[in-house]
Amino acid sequence: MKYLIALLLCLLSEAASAQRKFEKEVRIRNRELSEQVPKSALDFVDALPCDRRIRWYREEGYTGHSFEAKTKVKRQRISIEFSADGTFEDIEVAISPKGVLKKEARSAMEAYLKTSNGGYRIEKIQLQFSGDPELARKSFTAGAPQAGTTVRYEWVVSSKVDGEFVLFEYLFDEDGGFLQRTQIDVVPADNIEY
Amino acid sequence: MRPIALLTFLIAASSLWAQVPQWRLLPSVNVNKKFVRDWSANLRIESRQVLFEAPERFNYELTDIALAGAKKLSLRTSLAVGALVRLEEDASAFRSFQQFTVVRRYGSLRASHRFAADQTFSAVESPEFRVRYRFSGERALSGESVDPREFFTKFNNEYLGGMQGGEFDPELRLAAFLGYAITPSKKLELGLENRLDGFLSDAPRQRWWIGVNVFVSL
Repeated sequence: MKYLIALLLCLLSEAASAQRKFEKEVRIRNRELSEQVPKSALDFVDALPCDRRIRWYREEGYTGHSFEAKTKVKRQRISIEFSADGTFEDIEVAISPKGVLKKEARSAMEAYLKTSNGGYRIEKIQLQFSGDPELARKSFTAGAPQAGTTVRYEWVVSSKVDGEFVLFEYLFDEDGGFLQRTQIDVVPADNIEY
Repeated sequence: MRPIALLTFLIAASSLWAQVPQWRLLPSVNVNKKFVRDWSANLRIESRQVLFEAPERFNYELTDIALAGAKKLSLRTSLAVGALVRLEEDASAFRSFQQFTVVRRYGSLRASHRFAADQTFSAVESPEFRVRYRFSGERALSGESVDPREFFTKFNNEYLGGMQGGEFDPELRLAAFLGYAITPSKKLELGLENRLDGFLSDAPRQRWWIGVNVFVSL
């Protein structure tokens, strides 16, 4: 028991003295919305025909903070991102591979993923509309991009590299052209596995 | 806060059904070490103390030391086998165990399904063989996922079927914890667990465990 208490104290003291920065997502309660979230962002999201309540988050990162609203529209899980001053950044819609707007784009992305990973497993795909806020909203509600809207796809896939499973986030353009790859750290789940 | 509410309900309901509940303190330290090619080892040391039973208010009962080796089968699934030694004042026992775990995310809930089996041998009792299934869920109190320096809730619901000396004895477990993530790889949990067994016999036994868990990933 003495050793357990000593370990607990060590862990707590480390928490108190840790200096590293980290990214954090903090829920904003409804009663705090008007104080924390810029009005332009609130108005934009309120105009969407949401199926369920909207959850707002403040994302604190290395270079500042931003805001994100999450909800469902027509049973689709969506998130809308804004910069700290309320400037619209993008609408992201969770889709299946069939939800890719162009058949050729889907084939191109799948071919790229297969070539660069061998076997892979899809964890999540998001369709992103960005650019002019009104055009992006129209593109989302119509399910087809309006002229002037930027369309991108974000694929989160797991694959095996050097004998280990890793998680990657790929970004593709409207036609399935590769733009960027980022490796995602997998958070340990030992407290729900053991 | 649903796990807490559920546990509160369980406490109230238990007073109507089972015998006088027994209280135990169950502190544990769980260290997970990752190796190359998705192999890992897990060491768990768990001590059990009996609370509020005559003649003492606080009695040391036993210590479990378990070591498991695990291999990831995919990003979400893993297989582990291990051994546990139970050290008591006047006896000891050996347990081998196997588990298959699936970790999934349902919105803001990160959950695991654990399918396990264990076999316990000791000099004073008949061997015991159990199969078990546990559902665990973890949810951040702020945000969609548990970030460093954030509190979270966790609940476990486990169903066990045990066979010992030709007798079948199922057991139900329900637990709720309040946790704190110091870093992504260091977590503290404090909570309550209810274990109910013997309910097929005339003498159901209900035990309450105060759990204090430390999880460290190296």
